[in-house]
Amino acid sequence: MLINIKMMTDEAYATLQKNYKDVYKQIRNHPSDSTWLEGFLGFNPYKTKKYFIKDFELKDSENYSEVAFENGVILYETIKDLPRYIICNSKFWAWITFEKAYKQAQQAMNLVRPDLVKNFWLTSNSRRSLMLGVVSRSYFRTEISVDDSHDGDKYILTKRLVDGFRGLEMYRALVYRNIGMLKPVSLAFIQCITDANIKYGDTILRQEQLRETMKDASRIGSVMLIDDMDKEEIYDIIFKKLEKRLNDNSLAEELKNP
Amino acid sequence: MRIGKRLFPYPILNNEKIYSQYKNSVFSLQYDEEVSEDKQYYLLNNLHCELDNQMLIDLINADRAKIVCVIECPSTMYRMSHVLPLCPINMQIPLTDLNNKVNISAFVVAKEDIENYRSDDFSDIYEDISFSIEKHDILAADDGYVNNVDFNDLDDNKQASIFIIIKDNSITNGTMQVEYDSEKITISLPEEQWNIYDKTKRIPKYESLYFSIIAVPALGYALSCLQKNDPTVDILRIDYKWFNSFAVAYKKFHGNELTDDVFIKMNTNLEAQMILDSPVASAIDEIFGFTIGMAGGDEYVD
Repeated sequence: MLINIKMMTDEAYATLQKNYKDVYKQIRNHPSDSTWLEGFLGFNPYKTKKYFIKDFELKDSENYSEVAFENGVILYETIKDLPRYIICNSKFWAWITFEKAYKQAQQAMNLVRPDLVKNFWLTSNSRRSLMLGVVSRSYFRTEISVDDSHDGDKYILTKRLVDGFRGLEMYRALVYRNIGMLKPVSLAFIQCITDANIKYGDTILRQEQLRETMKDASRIGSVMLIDDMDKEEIYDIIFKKLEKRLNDNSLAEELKNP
Repeated sequence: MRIGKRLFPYPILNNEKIYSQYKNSVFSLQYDEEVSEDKQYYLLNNLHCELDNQMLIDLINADRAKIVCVIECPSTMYRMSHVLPLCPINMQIPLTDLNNKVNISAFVVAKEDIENYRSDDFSDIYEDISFSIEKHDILAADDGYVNNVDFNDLDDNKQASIFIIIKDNSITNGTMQVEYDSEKITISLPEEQWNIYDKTKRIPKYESLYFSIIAVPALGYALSCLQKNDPTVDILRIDYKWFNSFAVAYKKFHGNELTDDVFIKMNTNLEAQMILDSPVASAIDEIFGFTIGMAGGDEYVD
């Protein structure tokens, strides 16, 4: 069944942001659905837009990591063809979060403080905020890692990013660098970390090496036009540098602990 | 994508002369922008780069370098690159992929490794020096332009208000608070007063009154805040949608473009009143009208 998408109105969104401590209490008092919202605001929180999507239902689980990957794929497959100005609008994600993923949003993040509502349920429209939003992150994590050119499972890197070794750190590194929005960069980076982990094992790859590898990708763009490069070219550069760094580090460790 | 002041390990031709290591050559991105009549596309017509350096032209003609135009819209996470021929072309981008700031820049990029890279037009300090260039290296750059695509997402094409009026449960001292961001001016009222406002805002006889006590001071305040930071009207129009609407209304009202000089010296309270159709006088008239109506024309006793 097709449904019209909705967006939270500017007034509703600004009111919830301004009164986030009360919103926090309401969510805590009404964990099963967001029917309290209209009464709290005093008006209909949403406006209907002309675009249609297939109606969808996300999986829920008390152990959210069990369904996080699947929900990301459901969101991505449902929403990916909408115009960018909708997908990158926090008021669209407010509709999804409060109406379509209310339970999942609570399962994905333990709401222990009101500021979590402000920062992750009612994000700003910046790229970083949207990519970290409690529900929107599921979509963007999938968007930057789905590899349509992959012969087998196009979501293989998404799985790495959601469930794999240092997946969360990998995603953060991509979020905090603007260059992470370039698909060849994000695919090359995830593949690079994954391959290094397979080749060298879990213990050797540390968080700062992840960040350094993302910096290496940024440095490519200091002289070269990275927009002009494909993922294989980026991968070759950053993987070589990561290997060198890992080898240098293990040599240093050996010297320290012969 | 912006090169800015970035230094390169070899000479690059930069449209910003101060950052260029060429003596006289020019690399300049040119286009005419407009929105298509059906409001579906952002059009870049006559899109081309002026390039007069023969060495770079020869590299492009020999398929050893190319001109790449990068179009980036941070707020929609849209970033696309397109290879440009030396002659002008027209390009169209779906308007729904863009919103707010759009950066359009252009580069000459090496398509392969190039040994003995040198030009007679290199700055004197590079005279007789040749360089090794790698594939994808940037050889020329124009950071281009930042445009504002003011996409109206209202399905009925109504003009969006520059104000949002909301309740703030934390206001307990009866004040009205004003904030602004890139989109709108947000006015927060105490919950009780917001409830009254919400129930009465559509009653025509209160319109001027509400404009006088809420919109005029809010706009005046927001404008005065922008005045304090040595503003440039062109940049403010790109950074703040509501300010752009104000500048459009200013031109309509005064018949002149809003300039930096005029804005810095502007009495923001007075200007807010004029742009909002001088509501104070109408508000007082309305108060008088319904006072007389309610009192049944009784004589006023001092």
